[in-house]
Amino acid sequence: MGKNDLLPGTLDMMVLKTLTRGTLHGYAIAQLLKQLSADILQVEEGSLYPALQRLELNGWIEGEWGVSANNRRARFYKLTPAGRKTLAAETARYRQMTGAIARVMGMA
Amino acid sequence: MSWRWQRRLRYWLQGEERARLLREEMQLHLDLKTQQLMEEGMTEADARGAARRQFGNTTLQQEESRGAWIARWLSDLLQDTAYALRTIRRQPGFSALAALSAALGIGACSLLFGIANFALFRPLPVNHPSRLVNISGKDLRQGRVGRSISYPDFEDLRQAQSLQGMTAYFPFMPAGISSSGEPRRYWGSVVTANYFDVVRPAFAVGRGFDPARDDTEGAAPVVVLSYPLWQSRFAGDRALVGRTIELNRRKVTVVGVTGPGFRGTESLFFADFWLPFSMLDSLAEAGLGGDRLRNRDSQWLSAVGRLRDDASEKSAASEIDVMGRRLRAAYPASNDDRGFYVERAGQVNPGIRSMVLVFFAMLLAVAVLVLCTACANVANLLLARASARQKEIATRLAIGAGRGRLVRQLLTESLMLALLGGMAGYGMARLGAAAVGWSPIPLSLPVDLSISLDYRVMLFSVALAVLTGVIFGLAPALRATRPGLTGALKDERVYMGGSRYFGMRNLLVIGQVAICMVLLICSGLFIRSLRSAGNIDTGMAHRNVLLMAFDPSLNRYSPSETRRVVDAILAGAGALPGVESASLSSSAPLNLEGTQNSFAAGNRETPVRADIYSIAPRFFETFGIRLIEGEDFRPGVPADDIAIVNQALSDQAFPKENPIGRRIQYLGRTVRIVGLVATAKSRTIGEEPHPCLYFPIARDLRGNDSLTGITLAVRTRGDPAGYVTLLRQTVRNIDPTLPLFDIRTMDAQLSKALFLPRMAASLFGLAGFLGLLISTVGIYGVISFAVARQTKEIGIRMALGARRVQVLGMVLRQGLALTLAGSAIGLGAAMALSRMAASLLYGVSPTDPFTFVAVPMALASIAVVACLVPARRAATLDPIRALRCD
Repeated sequence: MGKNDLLPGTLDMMVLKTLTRGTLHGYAIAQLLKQLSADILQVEEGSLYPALQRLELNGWIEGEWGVSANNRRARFYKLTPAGRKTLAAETARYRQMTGAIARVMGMA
Repeated sequence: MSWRWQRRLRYWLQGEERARLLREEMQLHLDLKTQQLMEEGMTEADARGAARRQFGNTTLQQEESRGAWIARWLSDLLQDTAYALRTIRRQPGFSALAALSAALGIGACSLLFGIANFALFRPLPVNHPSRLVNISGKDLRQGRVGRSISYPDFEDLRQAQSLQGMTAYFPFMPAGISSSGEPRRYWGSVVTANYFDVVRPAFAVGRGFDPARDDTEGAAPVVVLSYPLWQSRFAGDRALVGRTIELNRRKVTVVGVTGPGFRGTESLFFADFWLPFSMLDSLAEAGLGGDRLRNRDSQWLSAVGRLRDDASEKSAASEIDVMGRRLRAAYPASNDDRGFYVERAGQVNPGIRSMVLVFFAMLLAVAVLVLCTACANVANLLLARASARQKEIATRLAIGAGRGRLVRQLLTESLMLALLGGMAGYGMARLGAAAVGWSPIPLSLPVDLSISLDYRVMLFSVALAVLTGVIFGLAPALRATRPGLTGALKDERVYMGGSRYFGMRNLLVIGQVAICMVLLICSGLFIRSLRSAGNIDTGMAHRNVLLMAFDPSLNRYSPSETRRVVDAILAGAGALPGVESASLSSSAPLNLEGTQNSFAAGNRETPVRADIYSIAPRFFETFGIRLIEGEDFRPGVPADDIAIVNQALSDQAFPKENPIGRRIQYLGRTVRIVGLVATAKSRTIGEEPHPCLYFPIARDLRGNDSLTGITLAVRTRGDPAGYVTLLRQTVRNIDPTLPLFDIRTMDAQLSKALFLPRMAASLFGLAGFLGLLISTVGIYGVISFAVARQTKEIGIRMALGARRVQVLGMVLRQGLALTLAGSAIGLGAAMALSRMAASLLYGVSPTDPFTFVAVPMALASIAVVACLVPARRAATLDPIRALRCD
């Protein structure tokens, strides 16, 4: 899948979701997304970074420099309360949307 | 969401730092990925490549991340601007050339716009100018508007319900002021006392008139002065208000001084003082007052009204229209064909507006031609540079820059150049406006030339610059970014874009040369015309003649006093040492404002029109006009019924006969012709022989025409300018309060009469010179560029045995072909255009062979010189190095 094949906004939502598991750095987020989607969602990994910048600018996540497992400087992101709220709203919206799509697809 | 914008701003301000950190983050990602892939069994090189592939375009991701920090277009714009400025600084020669070209064109256009803005669109500097309307007379038979109106009509119209107030004024009132220095004549208006209440200009000191008192005849005389007059004559003395000054030899109290910008309500003309109608009576000697206040036939006033808050220009117009109809019914004798016309005040008189507009349109056409050649140059220079940057651009396209982004960047550069040009152009326009202010105009009316360029002109310059930058930058930008990557990357410049690429540049140069040719031919014709106009025999000996005017009516003399003063001045001037002869005249020769009238001659059916002069004895001697037959007027001889005619009049009224002793009918009098003189130029230098009729000035010493007064002419031994002080002293001894004005030598008068041809010649001369300069740069640029691109070809030719002369010839031929093509088009256009200018040309045919041969030859030789530099460069190429060159 190319980077444009995702539904708009879904990458941001999934990044927020992965961060409910705790603070993670960029590479870990990418790995987690890949594992959780069982390799089906193969986002162009670089497009994660503009998404992280966007989320941070909106105040939904917070980045902090720390040290990674192999002792290198890495930026760890964690969810803010505002981000948690946005995630809940987005999840609800997403459920509604997929439910509706599923109903349409099931009927046909 | 201001906190979000604050954060954006902070992110963006910390841009460099954040970008570095982002790169670090991404690098970590790539490293971790590589490590993982290696653990899965890949070699390090493979793993690194795979990691990169999965990551995608690093640069692009970085750009997009930055995009989250601040609006992308804004950051791009800032980046492009910085880049453009850097490029401009790095190539100062090229940039200066391009910007200068644009500046010349934009400057010319802005100046014209500035003048038009000043003359046509500027609001009056008063309180709520848009509520002021101008009310003028309309000639229903001829459909002409902008006429003056009579005082009784004004009294009726001022009752209009849609107006809060209405004022009438006479705008061309000369008056002599003799306090604080040398007596001088100034121009002002005579206004109804409510003038300042209706118009509402700002006041620097004091107030306007008091309608309750100042309209009453015989009220204490008062005056309002303009700011410039107050500053220049009274040194801005605030205590002047309340004191009296001497105006037309009477004490008048200054009640106020208007604010700096206000010069009256008559567009194109200025007023330096305002007098109330109550002083009309005492101004009667100046030809005003008397029954003018009661006579509906006497139309001499301008009128301005202020709209009521609930009225519009339209409702006022329809109300006044109805009133006009009523007046027509009530006074059929005088108002039979008169209506009224209402429009926003402060505009050029609608009677002459279309003429003024046509004049500006013509000037604008010339300026636009200059702008076009200039812009063709900018486009050409940009094209040349874009092609030199082909490789850079191709590289950038290859690593993922969008075409739109590159076009935008190239456009930013051309815009920057155009804006630099626009700023310089605005500066040039300012200089030009100042130059217009100094130019002499052959009119004695108070024409307002204090052209100031306001913010509208600046906006115009900027808009023009943007337009220039976009229009002339877009084509090169699109062309330069046309995908054709591989060729460009491999340095195969010769094949890039193909022949069409050259085609456009060549077309631009051909167009430039054509326009330049038109401008040069026109300037050649006008310069030739100016020369031949200068050589035209005026029929006078104009060297060593000094002219100065005075107006006895300003000083309100009694008839016997007038006679005494005028006689004394003439006698005093004639008696000065070094003065060979002195005379008087109602108007100087070569003045546009003299009188013209018809007379009946003998048994001829149709009356003959002639220029009418009232002159003192020795007029012909003083001006060097030959007396053919008969005699001059003699001093002291009663002269009621005699006249002198010129040859042109004699030929027309008494063909093949001797006019001496014949009689003519003029204004109900029978006049005997006593003298015949040679025909001299009367009004303009270019005119056909004008019939002229000379009467003795003793009859109407008052000066029938208070605009020009009486002209004293003296013929001197040696330089006439040296006699000014002596003559001033002579007049001062007779009456120290009599102003002298329009002091000039006859030579100066002559050159003033050449105003139109000189203006045309200098306008086209300047435009032609600019065009030539610009086209030379254009030809040079194109040929140098062609040589640079053909370096390899030239090298091959030389290696195969071509001699240097042949290479030189090859390059020159290219340049000359362009020049010839442009010249041919330009010559055709110039032939067609010059016919239209025929009426402005003196003694030169519109297809003057000299001009039509000399100008193309000059242009061709300049083109050769422009080509010679790059051609020599080509001819002196070292073939070995040329072959190695890309």
